Amino acid sequence: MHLMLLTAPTPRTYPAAAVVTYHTLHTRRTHRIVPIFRWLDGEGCRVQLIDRELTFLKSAHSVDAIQRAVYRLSDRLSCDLTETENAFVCLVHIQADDRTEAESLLADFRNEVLDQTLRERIRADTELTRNLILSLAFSQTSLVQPEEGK
Amino acid sequence: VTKVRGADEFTAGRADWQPLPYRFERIRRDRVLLTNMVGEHAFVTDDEFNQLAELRLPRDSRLVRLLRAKHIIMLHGEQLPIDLLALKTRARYARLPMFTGLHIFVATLRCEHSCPYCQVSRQSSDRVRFDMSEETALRALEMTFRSPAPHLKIEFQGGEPLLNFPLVRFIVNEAECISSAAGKDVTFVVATNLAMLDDEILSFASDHHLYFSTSLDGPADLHNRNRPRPGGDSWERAVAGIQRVRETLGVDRVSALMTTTRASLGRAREIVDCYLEQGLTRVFLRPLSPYGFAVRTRGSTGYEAERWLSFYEEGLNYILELSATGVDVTEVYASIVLKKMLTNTDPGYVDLTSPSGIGIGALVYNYDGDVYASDEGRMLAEMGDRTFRLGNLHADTYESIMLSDALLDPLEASFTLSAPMCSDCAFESYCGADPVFHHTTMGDYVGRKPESSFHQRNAHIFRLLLERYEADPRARQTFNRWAGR
Repeated sequence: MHLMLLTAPTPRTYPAAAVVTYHTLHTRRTHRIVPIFRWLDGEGCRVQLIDRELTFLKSAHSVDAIQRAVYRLSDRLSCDLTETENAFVCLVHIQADDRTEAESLLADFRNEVLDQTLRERIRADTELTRNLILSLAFSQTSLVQPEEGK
Repeated sequence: VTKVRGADEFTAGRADWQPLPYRFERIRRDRVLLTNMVGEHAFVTDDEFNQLAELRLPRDSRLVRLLRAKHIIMLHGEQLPIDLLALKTRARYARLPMFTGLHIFVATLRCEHSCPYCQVSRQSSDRVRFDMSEETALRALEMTFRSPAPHLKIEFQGGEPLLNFPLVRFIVNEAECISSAAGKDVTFVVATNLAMLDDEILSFASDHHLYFSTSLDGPADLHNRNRPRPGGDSWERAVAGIQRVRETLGVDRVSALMTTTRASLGRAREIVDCYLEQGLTRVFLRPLSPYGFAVRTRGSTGYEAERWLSFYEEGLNYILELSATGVDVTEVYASIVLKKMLTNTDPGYVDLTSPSGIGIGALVYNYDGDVYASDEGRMLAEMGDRTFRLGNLHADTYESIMLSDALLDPLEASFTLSAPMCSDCAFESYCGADPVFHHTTMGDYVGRKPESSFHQRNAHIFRLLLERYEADPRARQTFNRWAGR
């Protein structure tokens, strides 16, 4: 198992305005948009966040795969990412109405990290072929200009 | 007979296989979508996908044959799949060197309608202030014919362009003179509500082969509610105009588009029936636009996207029901997507292209000489945001406009092959970059895709179409027909 649940659920509530930003390594800081169903509750609604910590071993996962997974699910969760010598530690902030929903989202996140790791491997395994196809595709068009002197 | 190879020749034999570049998406439990570099697709089960990912599919299996045919894998040492994928990739981008086929002339901002969602029209009789001048039109034509595209389409927009019909006539005559010298084909489309259509206009349209694109939102009560005008007879005039054009010029010379408002939601079947009653077989169930009626509020966007998707599914299902009984009717958005999914032809629909269609697909010449990268960019400017204004016909050159940061920055930033989440999305080949939409709704050209209603809407439709294509033989037949048109 590469994934370990290290902490017990710690349900907390924040005013909606308190969840407007988040940080991940090497990503742009952008505005956090609260999902629609939160808005429908009207002003003054309180968004429940449940924090969990997950650890991903560096030998099995890259930081890029974790960041891509966080981005894909960023309408439902956010993450503080730190690293130790052997692992990436994710403090995941999950927007959920109850624990069952939170567990489901956490499972989605773990699966998404695995899928992103697989995507990374497919990209690496097929990179040479992809570059060959693209160079063949555009070599016979006027889109590629020969370099001077060649 | 000796020239016919045995079945063994067509199996993988002893050779191993290797993956070609592919992307995947888990559609639902035990259903994984695979797409290759050019969008050819296959569905596999979780177990099959695991075997593919772990490179342990039996080399003589049915699935290996399927995935080879779909150019998702190939045998070691094969060259043909690489050549074919290169060819298809080139076909996919073939339109790029011949850019800007559509040129939109805003002949006037004046309009006798007062549609609540329209940001651009003016209820005014001030011709000097809101009409395009002949001088501006000539400069716009000069720019139009600088485009590398061999086939040009000039579309007249407004306001209501027929309120400035003398300028429409002037531009058509001038363009015809220039086109013969330039060796380019030009077609003309008038986007009009048809309320001002008269014999003189019809006669000119007949002589110069003008096409008409009009608005028909559905049944009379819905259309007239969406499109108020003096007399409250917008629908009656539109329908009468459609029939006059069909009878005088031919059935193919007029088409209609609908605008979906909140009042349209839940009435998809009535809207389709209305189109068929008017003899219009192409129904475009268009999404809500964020440029007009206050969808800019971020919170309501996703809400509207969900409601619109229900509306779209209701309409598409009804159209498929009708098609199955032999009725000739096409849902235009689905047909655009299916062409991208099932053929190597890119229909060049501006919202579903990457690089984005702004500037490359269309240029807009406003009545005052301002040049915009798209019609949505012009509408945005009317709301006070001039981000997509590229320059002015009286002050800037073709080169300065086409190489302006206002055009190149959003094109580069929104390119889906380098945009977060888009670059590894299995639907990337079908989708597009829409920097104007994301700038409007999220404040940057790329947008945050997990929260983007553009992403939600299109991902939902792609899934819907592919699953229907796989599961429903009748829908598959209809979809193949739409894609082939």
